[in-house]
Amino acid sequence: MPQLLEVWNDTVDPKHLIGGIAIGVGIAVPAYLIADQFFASRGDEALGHSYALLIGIVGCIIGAVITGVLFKPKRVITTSGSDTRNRQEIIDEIVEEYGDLGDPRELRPAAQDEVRALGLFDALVENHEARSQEKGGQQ
Amino acid sequence: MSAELIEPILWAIGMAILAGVLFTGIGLISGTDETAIVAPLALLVILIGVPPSGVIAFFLAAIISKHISHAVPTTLLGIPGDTTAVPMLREAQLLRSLGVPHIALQKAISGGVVSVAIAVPLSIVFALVLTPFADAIGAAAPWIFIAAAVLVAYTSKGKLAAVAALIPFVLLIVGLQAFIMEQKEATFTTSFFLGIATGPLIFDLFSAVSPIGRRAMRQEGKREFNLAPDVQPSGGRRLPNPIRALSGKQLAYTSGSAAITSATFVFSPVAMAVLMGEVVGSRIKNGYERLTTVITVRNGTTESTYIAETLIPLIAIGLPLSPMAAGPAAPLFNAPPVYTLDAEAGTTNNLHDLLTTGQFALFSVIAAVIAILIAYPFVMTNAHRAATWVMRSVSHEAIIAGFAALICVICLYEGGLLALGVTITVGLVGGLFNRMIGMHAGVQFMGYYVAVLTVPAILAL
Repeated sequence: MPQLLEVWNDTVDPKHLIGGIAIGVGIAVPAYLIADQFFASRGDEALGHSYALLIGIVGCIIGAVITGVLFKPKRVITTSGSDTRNRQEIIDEIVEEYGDLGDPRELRPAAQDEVRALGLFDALVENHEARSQEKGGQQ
Repeated sequence: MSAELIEPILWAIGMAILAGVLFTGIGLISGTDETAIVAPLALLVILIGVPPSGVIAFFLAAIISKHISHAVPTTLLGIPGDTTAVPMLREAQLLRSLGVPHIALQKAISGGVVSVAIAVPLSIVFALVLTPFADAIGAAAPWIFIAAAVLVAYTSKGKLAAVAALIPFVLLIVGLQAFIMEQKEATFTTSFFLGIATGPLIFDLFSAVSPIGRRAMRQEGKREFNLAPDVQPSGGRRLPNPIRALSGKQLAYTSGSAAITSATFVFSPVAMAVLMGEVVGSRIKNGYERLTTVITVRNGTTESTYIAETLIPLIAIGLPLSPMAAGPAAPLFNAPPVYTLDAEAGTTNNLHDLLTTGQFALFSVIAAVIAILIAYPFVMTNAHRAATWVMRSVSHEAIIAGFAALICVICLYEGGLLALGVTITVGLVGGLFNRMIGMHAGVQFMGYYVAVLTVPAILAL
């Protein structure tokens, strides 16, 4: 397995990276230089300079697309199914980090509908009540 | 409508569509920093010769659509879409573990849309309020820039170290400029901007070549990303309505924070997003409602700060006097030979001079409407599919290859191999300061203006 590196916040294979940069620069720079020469030889240097830039950019895009086709991403994507754990456990974990999620019954009707549509209403009520009972027991 | 307005309007519409499509796509790619991506592309549009109406529409449509679609990786993958998405991460992750990532996404992007609708008109009003003071501000600019540079540096992650690092960084720029002047009898701007904007990439590339640097960058195997399950909203996928996706309270808080952050255009967008989230969060008792409201407000703030920090300095002053204007929007103020900013005379020839306030308003509205019409429905209906496609098919090598080539072409365009050398020098030093000292690109852009505005003023004392 090739050694992978983290460059600019994501994972790359160094060989693919060098190849990709060579392709990108190798297409875009000559495209720009040739276009610049071509337009300059036909007069109107200033505007020709801008057109050459445009052609250079098209070169960048072509280079990036070729690199993308040649080298695939180094990422593993897992699509988690819904969490199989008990809903209350998950909510407990969130509460642990964030604090009580509160009683949805105190929300305005529209917000209550939203929580109901998400199927969270009963779970949140249950969690909130369990928590207030716990608190009550401790006092 | 007068006939001579038709052509600029068509340019604005065309460029806004282009930016809307392009940046809705770019926003899906996680970690695509605004300064590194938007500034070079805006520069490109200017250098190619797109007229002012097209440039402003391109830029605004780019940031508006990017700050809608950046919520996709943030909420579905749990990795920030870009720098301004970082403050939303915690709420996004908690809502994701609650099993409702689609709600996090819906709330975030709806907050963004509402915020755009408020920030565009308000920014123009605030700019008009500020316009009478423009001359005074312009005269004091050299001193304002150094004060701003110190302030922005101090509020960056590097704190005092970033403030102190301004000295070598400014001297580096002054020295390079003097050498360029001697060789070419001209000054460079673009290659400095590019170096600053893509500094972390240039630094990483050097580091990857060095055996010592490579050791620290090693990755054990491929990185794993966990994509949240595709939750179908109840009632199927209707054509989305951002106002209906928010509760009355959320609408009020988002509008309020958008209005406030439209006025505070001198502060960092990330800092404002964090602050607004905290302020609003502390006022909401119910935990679930707090989670969804904070993410709404925070994404809203990423839109309003970006719009206000671009439009207010651009309309009122013409000098890049905001973190945004000195960062992603930098080319709108200074992109020689098309837009210029004469340090010594204090004169400008940029969008500030080329468009009237009314034209700014018109093209901003066009850009906002088009960007929202492209990004919002697309993200609402295709977020999951798009996120999967980007992660599986767009390789990071391709993105870096495209950028490396772009850096070379733009540098050669500005000043041949010398310009390329400047970009690599500034990029390597800037990237090092960024990664090791915590002095982000915004501080470095301010440093650039200290070098070209404040240093001559100090020498003239």
